[in-house]
Amino acid sequence: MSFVNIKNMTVRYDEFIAVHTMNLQIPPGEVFGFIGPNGAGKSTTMKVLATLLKPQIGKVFLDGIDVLREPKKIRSIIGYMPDAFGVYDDLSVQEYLHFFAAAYRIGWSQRKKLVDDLLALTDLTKKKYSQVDSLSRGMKQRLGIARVLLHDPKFLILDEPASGLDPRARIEMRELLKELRNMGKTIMISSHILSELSELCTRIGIIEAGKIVAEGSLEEIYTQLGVEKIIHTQILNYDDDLQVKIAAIPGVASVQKEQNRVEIHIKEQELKPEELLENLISLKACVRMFQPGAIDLETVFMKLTEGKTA
Amino acid sequence: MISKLPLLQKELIEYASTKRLFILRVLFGLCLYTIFLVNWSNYTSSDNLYRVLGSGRWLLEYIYIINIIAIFVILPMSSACVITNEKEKRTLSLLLTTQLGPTLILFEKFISLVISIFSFLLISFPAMYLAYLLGGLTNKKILISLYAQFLTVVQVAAVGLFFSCYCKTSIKAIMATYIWGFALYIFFPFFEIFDNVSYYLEIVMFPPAFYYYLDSYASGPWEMFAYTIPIWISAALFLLGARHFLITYPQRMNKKPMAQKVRDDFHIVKRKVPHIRLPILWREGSHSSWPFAAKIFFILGAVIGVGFFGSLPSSRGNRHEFAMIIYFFALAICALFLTMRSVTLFQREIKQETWDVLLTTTMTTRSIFWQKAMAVTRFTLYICILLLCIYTFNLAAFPRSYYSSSRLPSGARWTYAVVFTFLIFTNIQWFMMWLGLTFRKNTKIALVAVGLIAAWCIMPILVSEFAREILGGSRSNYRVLALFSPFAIFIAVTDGRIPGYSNRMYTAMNIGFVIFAVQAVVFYVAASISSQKHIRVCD
Repeated sequence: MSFVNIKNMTVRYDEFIAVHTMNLQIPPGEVFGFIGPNGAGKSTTMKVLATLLKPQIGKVFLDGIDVLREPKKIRSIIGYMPDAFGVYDDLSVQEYLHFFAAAYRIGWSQRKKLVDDLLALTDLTKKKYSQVDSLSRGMKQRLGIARVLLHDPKFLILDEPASGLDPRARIEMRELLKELRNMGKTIMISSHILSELSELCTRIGIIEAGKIVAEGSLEEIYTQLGVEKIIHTQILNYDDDLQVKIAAIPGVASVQKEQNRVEIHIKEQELKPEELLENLISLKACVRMFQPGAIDLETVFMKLTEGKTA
Repeated sequence: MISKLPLLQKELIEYASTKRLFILRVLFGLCLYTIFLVNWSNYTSSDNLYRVLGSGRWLLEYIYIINIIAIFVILPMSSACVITNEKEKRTLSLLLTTQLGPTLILFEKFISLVISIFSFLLISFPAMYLAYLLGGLTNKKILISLYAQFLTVVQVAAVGLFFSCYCKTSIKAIMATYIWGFALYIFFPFFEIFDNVSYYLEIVMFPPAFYYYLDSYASGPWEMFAYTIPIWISAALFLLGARHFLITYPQRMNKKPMAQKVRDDFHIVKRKVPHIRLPILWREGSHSSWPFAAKIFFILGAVIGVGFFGSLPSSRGNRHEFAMIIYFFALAICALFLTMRSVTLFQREIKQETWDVLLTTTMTTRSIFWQKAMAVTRFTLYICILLLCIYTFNLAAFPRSYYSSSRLPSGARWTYAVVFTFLIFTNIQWFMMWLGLTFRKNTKIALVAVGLIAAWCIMPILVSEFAREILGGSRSNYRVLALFSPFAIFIAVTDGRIPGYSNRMYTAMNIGFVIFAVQAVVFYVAASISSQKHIRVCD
């Protein structure tokens, strides 16, 4: 059973259709990466799931609960972090979390330990008494994550959590999200940094002009699109003759000689990397390095989208 | 030429496309011509032809006063927002990096303000022409009235621009401009205790007074200009200050507030774990409200102190006038603070981008609304108590002989003061909360709110006057309309009577009570319904 179930959802802002007949299912425990150009409808979809917007047409269920009919129940199982969220500047980090703990009606007796645990999880213990407005952007984002975890929600909606962060803060954020994934949370995350999503997400959805253009695991999409996979190799006895033989293997799209390595482009639905390796050995190629390249999400994204907005 | 001033061009295009300004102009025109026609009708109904022919002088004075009021009401709002708007849209830093430079930016903004306010004042020109036809005034008097209006515009625009450059947000700039404007102009009457000083100061620093003094003291245009040099200097100083804050804006923007610096440097930290039951009420109460309330206490305390000090040694026996000025000043400031606080109650969260986060918590819509409302109610309570303290001083300043049998006795006035202070400020609170909820996405709602409060105070009085002129009959029959105006009620509370009502003050005040009680209920219901409709989309 899907945790998130969106059926024929359409969201309009007056005449403007932000999301158009969207259907989307996310199984529980998945980390779903939501990708799309600016204005494609990602944030609108997330706001509907966070009970902040009402779709004009369609049904939305979270954990089997109708978002439109029972928003109060939904709020207790979701944690929403918008793309741009303000913090109450006049509060300290501790006060900020206690404020939201009270807003989530968490009992006074549990609050102190809970806040301390979350500060430890997000590595903000040292900043416990600092004013929120004195935190760096990365710390504020981590504080946002701590806030969404206060009531231990099953589903996290994170809209661009890594936007505007420096490389170190981005890595820290990625590690934090991996921890949350290991905690078994279902996470929906949107980002423009595609390489981050490919490392983190178990499924992705690509949205353009308010419509889902591709959805599934990276491998599935990769296969669906017939995107060539690149295998980086170093072959010691590489020559023109061997190149012709490799190119003739069924499933090999092309072979390119780079400075100190050979790039073999394969059609993964026809030839698996391990099969290629076997073929190379049978051709008596002296293989020193054999490294399948990470799935190139950018290629997928560029192939599927044209930069259209809703 | 205007194409060489791109900022001015942009401002004028924006003014031309702002619906709010058209509505304001129409309202101003209505007020102006209502008052003008009422007075025209009074003066021209006389059988004495000589009295009719000389009445242009009085009509011009009415027009002049209305124009000055319009300048004081409208210009602080627009001038205080002119730079803060750029700050809020985050375009000021971009403007400062262009070749325009801070001086030209200020100059263009200043000119756009002058042009915009003169688009209001021009409406009065046909009325001035009619007044001129009736005689009783000279060309010089008309020129002086125009020059005094121009000087007032220059001074108010300069003060507004100064605070617009200094403050971070439009709301703060508007409040600072009004408070300073009020303070500046009520400050000089205190100098009446030093006879010679007061006279000179009032002439040189209060531009509207030129209309009354320059005619007899300045014979030619150069002499006239010489008298007004202090005004030009003060305006130039304000503009220089504005320029300084504009230049230093990029540094100030990135600087942490002093309190923060102190906390970080000396580790003055709040280690106590807060025990929060009602989170919104806790935050509004223990944090944002307290400095705000502290400011109120400070400002009003200063006003009481200065007013009391100023009124005590008065040798002319007019200390009750000072006390009344102080009381109305305090009323205006409190109404302004409460209006701003109530109308921006929800908008502040939207602006700070904390609103969406708050709405996804498990708090119910009703709870969010009530906690917000309770925070404002607490604030209303503070200011009502403060106002009643000032009222007590005000009451003590009036001589016993002042109250004849036609005025309310002090016991009744005190009772009505308590009742109406709470009732009217409760009205303002709920009305503004309703307005703020319904138009929470309108960035100019604070300006609209101030305009509505001003109209609420003035329009019922004007309508009652106009109705009498049109429909005829006794003044008292229409005076009941004036009871819709909080201003009229507070006049009754201080002066003991509403002009126009002679011996039926108790009836009038009881009618006023019913009007405001019904209004309060209506506004409360409207705000409650609006909260269910507007706070959350899904509930």
